[in-house]
This record gives sequence, structure tokens and C-alpha cells, in this order.
Amino acid sequence: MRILLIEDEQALREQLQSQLSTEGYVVDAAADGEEGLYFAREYPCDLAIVDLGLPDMSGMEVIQQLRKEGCSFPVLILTAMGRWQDKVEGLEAGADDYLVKPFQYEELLARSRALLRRASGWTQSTLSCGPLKLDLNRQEVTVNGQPVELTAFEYKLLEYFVMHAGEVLSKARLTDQLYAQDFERDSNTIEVFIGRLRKKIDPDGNIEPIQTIRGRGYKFMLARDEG
Amino acid sequence: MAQQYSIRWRLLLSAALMLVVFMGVTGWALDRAYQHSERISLNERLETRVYALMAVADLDKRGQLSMPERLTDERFNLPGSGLVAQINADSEALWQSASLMKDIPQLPESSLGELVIVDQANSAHDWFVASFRVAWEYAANQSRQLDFVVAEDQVFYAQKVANFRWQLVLWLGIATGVLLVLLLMMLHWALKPLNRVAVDIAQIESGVSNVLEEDYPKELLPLTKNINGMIAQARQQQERYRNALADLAHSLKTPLAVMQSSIQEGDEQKLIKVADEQTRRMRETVDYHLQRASTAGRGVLRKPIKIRPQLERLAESLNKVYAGQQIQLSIDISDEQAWPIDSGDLFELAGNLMDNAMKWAGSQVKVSVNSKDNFSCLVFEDDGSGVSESDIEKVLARGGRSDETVPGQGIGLAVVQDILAAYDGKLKIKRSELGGAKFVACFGFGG
Repeated sequence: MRILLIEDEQALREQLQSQLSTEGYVVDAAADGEEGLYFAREYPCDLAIVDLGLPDMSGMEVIQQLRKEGCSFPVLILTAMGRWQDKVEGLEAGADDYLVKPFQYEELLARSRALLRRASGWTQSTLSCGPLKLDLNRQEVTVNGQPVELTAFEYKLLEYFVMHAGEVLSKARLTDQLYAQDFERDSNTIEVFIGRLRKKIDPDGNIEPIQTIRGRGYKFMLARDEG
Repeated sequence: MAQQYSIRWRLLLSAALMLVVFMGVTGWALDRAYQHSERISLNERLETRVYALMAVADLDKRGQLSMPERLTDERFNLPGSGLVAQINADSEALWQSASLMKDIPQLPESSLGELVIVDQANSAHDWFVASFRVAWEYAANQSRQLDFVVAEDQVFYAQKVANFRWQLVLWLGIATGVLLVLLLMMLHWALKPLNRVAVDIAQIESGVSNVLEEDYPKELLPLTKNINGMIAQARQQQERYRNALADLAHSLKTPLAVMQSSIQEGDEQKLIKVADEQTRRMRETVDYHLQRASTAGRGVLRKPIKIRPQLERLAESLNKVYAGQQIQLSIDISDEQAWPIDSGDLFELAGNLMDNAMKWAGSQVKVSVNSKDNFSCLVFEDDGSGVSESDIEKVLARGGRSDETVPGQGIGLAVVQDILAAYDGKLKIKRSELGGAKFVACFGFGG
């Protein structure tokens, strides 16, 4: 999953970027609205975390611009202004949720996960597709009730597949979800990760969760159990 | 910006202009009337003198004119007196008065028995002239045509008119001056209460007095009452700021003391935990007191605002935030419902209570109004687990004494209660027919 973070305060920006990266998210961190809009135009984004009090271009204007340009990903606003009037104005500008500064990192993470989940049409924090279950809070995966050990990258890849079940995902799109813009990209890496995921989730080849669509990419085949 | 003239200056200027116009028209009218009357009187005098001249004239049996040596009116006898007489026969002067020094201008031909008067003052005629042609019978069947002419120099008439005009201007000027002085005195008296308001407000600013007195003229009473209301409101706001600052300072000291004592203990693990707890507590305290200080409260000139649009904006925002919970939020309030409440206060109060209801609701939240007596209430209901009888007092008390609030407990309700207190209202918690809690926020004004 790729998160766009727009926060002008360097210490907080770097801290959040580091913490979210540890969680396995690819984070594009921008110090102002212009840079943030550039990232949003250049890279596929699943969630934006926007500080309202930005220099030059306010967070509210950034959100309005994003929506105007057709970006439909969820937006979480960070605001130092705790008044309801400010929250409502932020939400009316196009945001989906708000968090008043100072906040606990756990709360930011929980709200970000909820927004990502909701954007993919899931209503509960455990995503269930037939024999495969993915607990977003605990970041645990089970197949037929048996826990499956995955690395952080493998988990993030699977989570992205489940969130976009039924969609054809190109290699480039999957690469963007796993690597930040300044990383060296190797086109074989995704194939290697998908090969490992298939082995771990479906060692006997019974459920075949990820199908290769020749020349186009991959598709998660297991149907959702709910929402 | 255009210069703003004072009320006194505006009234004085307009009254002075009006006076000048009025006096000008009056002077012109009096001048016209005087000249008209003077001309009539002059004509009558000339006519009388023509008849008097005829009375003293005589023709003998040969038709020769005889006149007395001196005439009764001395001005006829005095050269240069300006009043002259002449008797003509066939355009030839038969007799001239002693006062005549230059010729009387030629008159238009008149018919027999007709009195002709020329009283047009112009450069061609510097005389006012009256002429009467008669056929004088001096013997049987013997008569002679005679023209009796009397003239008065226009200079005398012009002097008279000039004198009158000078007197007129003098007295009208004096009258205008007196009226202006009276007007100034009247304005001073009429505007005295306004000056008093300014002086009284200056005294309030300098701290000499607290409010404007109540003994102003009835036209000013609504103004002074509203000013007093605004002063009281500003004082309340100041008091709120002062209290909020004092409470903030007071309530920040406790967590600071807790952290200081943990530092002294030297247990790093414990310090991290304590610092985390206490900074959270400090954050909520700061939020609460800032909100409390910014509450606008009841205002004397507060314009009623429609509450449904504000609540709908809140509802739409909260529907976004709670999108995953499938809660049905309904607002049962008419479009016309308008209350004299600050928009920020309404947002804050309704935001907290609506957010609370959404948080605890199962699937339904309802917002409505209930107005009775002198209270207008916003009612927030949900179908959650509700607040038990025993907890109601605790929840309200915790909100009421929020400077002692511990993290996560009742900051929102404390804010709600403070806002309601600023409107002489109160918060009640009941059981809703929907099954959950019913928060009734009552403002101290009629609906």
C-alpha cells in the first residue's frame, strides 16, 4: 500500500514516514502542498495523510485540488485546530476522516487502516476470502485456520491483492506498492515474491489464489466472504 | 473614505442653508411689495397734484392763462426740488413752475379728458410724469386745449427704495443671526444626551464607571441598553478568558508535578509511561480550556441563525467518519427553526453530542428540537446501550469539573456544559425511546 504524507514539520514528517514504512507501507513524504500534488500525480496512491496547516498552499486547498483532479483515494487530515467547525470544513473539502494534533501514533495507524479497508469496500478488520483470512490489526494470515508465516513484503503484497480482489494488477503497479520512488527496481522481484506467496499460501496447489494474466499482470481469484 | 460630518454640523449647515433661502425669498417678496405700493402711492400723488394745478389755473376772457405767483406746495416753488409742473397749449409751454430747471420729456399724445401717467423707471425717462388734457372754456363757445403736466424726479423714488432695501437687509440679517444663535442653543440642548453617552462611555473606558445610566431620553434607551449588554458580554468573555487561563495554569501543574516526581525517582521505564499519560492529559486540558475560553455565549445583538443547515453539515461530515458503521442519522428539525446562538458554539456543542451519539449508537441516531417555557433544547438520541441512572450524575459531574478530567473522560461533555452555561442553559441525560441515551441540551432562550 502506498501512502502520501504531506506534513510541513520535518521532525513529525520523518517520524511518521519511518513508522509507516516499518508497518510495510510505501510512503511518499512531501513538505508542502505543491510537492504533495506532484507525488499524487506521479505515483498511484491508496491513502493521503494531509496536515491542514501547510505553508503557501493550505491542506484544505490541496485536498480540494486532489478531488478536482479526480483522485478518489481516502484522505485523512491532521489538524492542530480541534474545533468542530474546522473539522467539518476539512471533511467538506473532501477529506474522509480527521485526527487532532497531538495524536497517538496507534490512533493514526488504526484510522489509516480503517480508511484503506473502507476504500476497498471491506467493513471489518478481518478480511475473509474462502479459506484465506487476513487480520489487518494483527497482520496475521491463516489458510483453513492454519497460520501462515509471511515476511513484511509478502504480507503487504497479499494485503494489496486481497484489497483489490478481482482486479488485474500490473507488475508496475505492484512494484509501486512495494517500493518508494527512489528505490532501484528489478522487474523479477515481483515474480519472485508472488512465487513465494503461492508456495506459502497454497503449498498443495488446491486453492490457486493468484492467477497470472499473461502480458497484463496478476489477479486475486478468491471471492470475498463479506462486504 | 469620505469625511464624516458631525450631526451638529449637519443640522446647523442644513438649517443655515434653509434660513438663507427663506430670508432671501422673504426679502425679495417684501421688496416687490414695497415698490408696488410706493408706485401706486406716487401715481395717486401725481394725479392729485395735476388736479390741484388745475384748481389754481385760470383763463381770462381773451383766453390768456393766469397762475398765482407761488403755489401751495413749496416744492413747486423751490428750484431743483425734484417736483415740477408745466402747462402746455398746442405743445408749447404756457407756464412752468419755478422748480423746473430742465425740460420735461415729451409725452405721448393723450386724448381729451384722459390722464396719462408714465411711471417706468428707465434711462429714457428720469421723471415720473402725469399729464391731463382738458378743453378749457373761457367764453361762450370759446375754449382752449391745455395739457396740465406734473413730474417728479425718479431720484427721490430710487433713494426711498434704496433706503427701504438697506433697512430690509439689516433687519433680515439680524433676524437670521438671532435665529442661528437660537438654533445653536437648541441643537446643543437636543444633542446633549448624545454627548453624555460619549462622555459616559469614555468614563467606562477609563474605569470610572461600569455601565451607562438608565435616565436617557426614550429615543436613546434602546441604544444605551444594547451598549450595556455588549459591555456585560465583553466582561463575561474577559472573565471567561481569565478563568480559563487560571484553570489552565492550575490544571497543568498537577501533571507537571507527577512527571517531575517520576524524573526524581529515576525509573526510566516508568517515566516513559508517566510522561505518555500526563502529556495526553495535558493535551486534553489545553484543548478543553481553549475551547472554553472561545465560547461566545449569549449576545445582546446575536442574529438568529437557522440551525438545520449547520446540523446537516455536521451530519454529513460524521457520516463520512462513521461510514463503516452503517448508522442512520436523521435530523427532525424544520428548516425555519432559527436560534440566537453563535455559529461556532452550535458547531462545538452539536459536534460533540452528535459524535458521542454516533460513537455509541447501534444503528440509529436522531436529532430533534424541543422548546418549552423559556428554553430551546436540542435533543440527541441513539439506540446504543445508554447511560444508567447511577452513571448520569457521574457523567454530568465529570463534565462540570473538567479541569480535573483524566484522559479520555468527558472533555466533550465538559465543553458542552460550558457552552450551555454561557447561554444560561443546562444539559440533561435521559433514556431514549430508541433504547439508548438521550442528551437534551437546553439553551436559556425561548424557541
